[in-house]
Amino acid sequence: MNSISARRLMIIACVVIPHFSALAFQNSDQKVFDWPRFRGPEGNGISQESSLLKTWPAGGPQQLWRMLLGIGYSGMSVQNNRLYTMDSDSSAESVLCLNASSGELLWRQNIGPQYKNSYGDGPRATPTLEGDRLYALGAQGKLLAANSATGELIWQVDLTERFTFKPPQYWWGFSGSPFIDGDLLLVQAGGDGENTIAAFNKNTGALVWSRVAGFAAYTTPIAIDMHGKRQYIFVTAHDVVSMSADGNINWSYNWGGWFIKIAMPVFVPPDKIFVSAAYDIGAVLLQIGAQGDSVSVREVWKSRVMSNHFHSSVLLGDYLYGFDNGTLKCIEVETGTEKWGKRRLGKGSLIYADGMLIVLGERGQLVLVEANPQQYVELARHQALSGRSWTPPTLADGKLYLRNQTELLCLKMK
Amino acid sequence: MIARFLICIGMISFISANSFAQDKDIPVEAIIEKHIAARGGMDNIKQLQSIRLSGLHIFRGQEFPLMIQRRRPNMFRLETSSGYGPEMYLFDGETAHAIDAKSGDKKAIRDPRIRHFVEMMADFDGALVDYKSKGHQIALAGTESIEGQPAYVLEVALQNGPKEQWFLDAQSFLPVKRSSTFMDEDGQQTQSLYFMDYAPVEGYMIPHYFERNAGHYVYGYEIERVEINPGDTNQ
Repeated sequence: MNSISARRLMIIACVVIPHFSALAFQNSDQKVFDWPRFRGPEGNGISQESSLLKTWPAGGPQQLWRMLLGIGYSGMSVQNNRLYTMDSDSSAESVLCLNASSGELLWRQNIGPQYKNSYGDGPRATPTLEGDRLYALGAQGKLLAANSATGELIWQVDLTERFTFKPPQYWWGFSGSPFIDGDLLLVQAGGDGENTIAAFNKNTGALVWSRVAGFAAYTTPIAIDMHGKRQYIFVTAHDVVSMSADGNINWSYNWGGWFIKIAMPVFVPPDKIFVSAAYDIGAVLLQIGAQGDSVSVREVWKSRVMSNHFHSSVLLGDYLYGFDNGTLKCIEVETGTEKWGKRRLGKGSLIYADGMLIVLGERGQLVLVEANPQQYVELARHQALSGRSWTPPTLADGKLYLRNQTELLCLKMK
Repeated sequence: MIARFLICIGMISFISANSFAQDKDIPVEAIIEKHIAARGGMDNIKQLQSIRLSGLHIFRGQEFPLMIQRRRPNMFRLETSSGYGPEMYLFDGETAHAIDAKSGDKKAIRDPRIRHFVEMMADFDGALVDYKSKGHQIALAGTESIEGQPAYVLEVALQNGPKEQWFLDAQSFLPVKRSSTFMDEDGQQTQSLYFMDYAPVEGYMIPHYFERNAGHYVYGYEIERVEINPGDTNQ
């Protein structure tokens, strides 16, 4: 191939491939704006939706529907105008499917007895959707795959029977959401021995591998491509662990601190991981180096500037937005420098869309905040829910879904 | 015209920057005088014999009834709940106690965070009022931004007590934050109070929301009703 041909090919590649990609993006708007798992399409709390309302009328955004649910903290996943979540009552823990536009119940699948806990009964994890399948993990370790159209169970594994447990494993119930990558379903199984992290075949429920000693945490893993390698980043009770698809440990970092870790790790491309926890632990930014087969883990900074208790931070450019216990903060990710902080929302949660942080305060205060590292700029506020509202918002197809422990509502955001 | 406008902007910026530089050098005495004036003046402060605050205690996303009563000399009483039944705490002028909800008996406060909080609330007038006669020492430790607003940081060495930090808003001179340390089984911990939503009530500037942070615990106190010298406070 001569150089002119090669250049032509390059031009074609540069012009045509992005064009086709863009077309694919446009043709799959519905899919792009689904919210198929915990913390959204990419698991990072970021939605690509645009043209959202920047201010609201006095009564807040239009409410499309509102319904009572059984008790629980499970988040909402949305795909093809169907909403999936979990709840419980005194008789059972359930996965349920609603029409996302109307709130009509389409099916309910009981998966086991109710989980009881002084901090609130019921399921914690969020269902994960892929194709025509739903994957869910109940608060008592019932891991399952179901037909997302009908709720029919495809397989079910009881993690507490598959592995052995010892306290304080899962004081507050199984909470991390099932994570799918390729044919693997990854969870913090929390088994005794080297069974903290487990990978199942998502099609059959068969155990593929289980690894890592110590205690599990309450976090959902992320998948990243770093140094040319696909890696699954888990935060266990005391460690940050990178696993490969074959179950090998790429690297680990002994974080220490109390065993309660809830927030997800945040990937800071190209080679850094941010993790954060409450209980006087704070945050650390890790840089992962790789030279040949040798991997190094370096603490770039470590501080208490951002202690994510329940909810994970959102990375936007050079800045992280998240809840430092009860203070909504913006910090510069490379240095840990605080840019601003705002109180009074309790231990809230947040997602990002269309230049705004969509923040849900601990008592159901819904707040739109500019994603602005220079200052806190509040655009709109609405008392959407009352009572303990620890479930993060879900944004899909221009609709925002919020829940407290017993109520679920849908607001029109466009 | 534009040039004049730019000159004006430049002068305003210079004056603002210059006055901020001067404010940084403000003596502690002047800060405290302004603080007392902002609260309603010394005479007014001394006329206050008791105060009752009613509203909501917010903890873990839930709301509970709240009543705080304060009375001279240094009496404090807090009645609330945090989901595990009624809670009553008081400072009787000398010691912090819990009150058993069933028997009404005084008992020691077991949680060091709560004991420390009750002790922080004990000084009826606040540590800055009459600080010399109380034996406290106060030094200006600079300025710090609290929720985007500059605040003077005062290091307050309490007589027979821990060192506290008081953060006074640089414009209003009202407290926006107060921090102090205490010991628990894990070692030295910091407890901070954040004061917000000041509004005048019968000549006194009262924060209508304050938040208490101790470790990862966050407690909100939303004040819905303020009674000045209600006359029937009990301890």
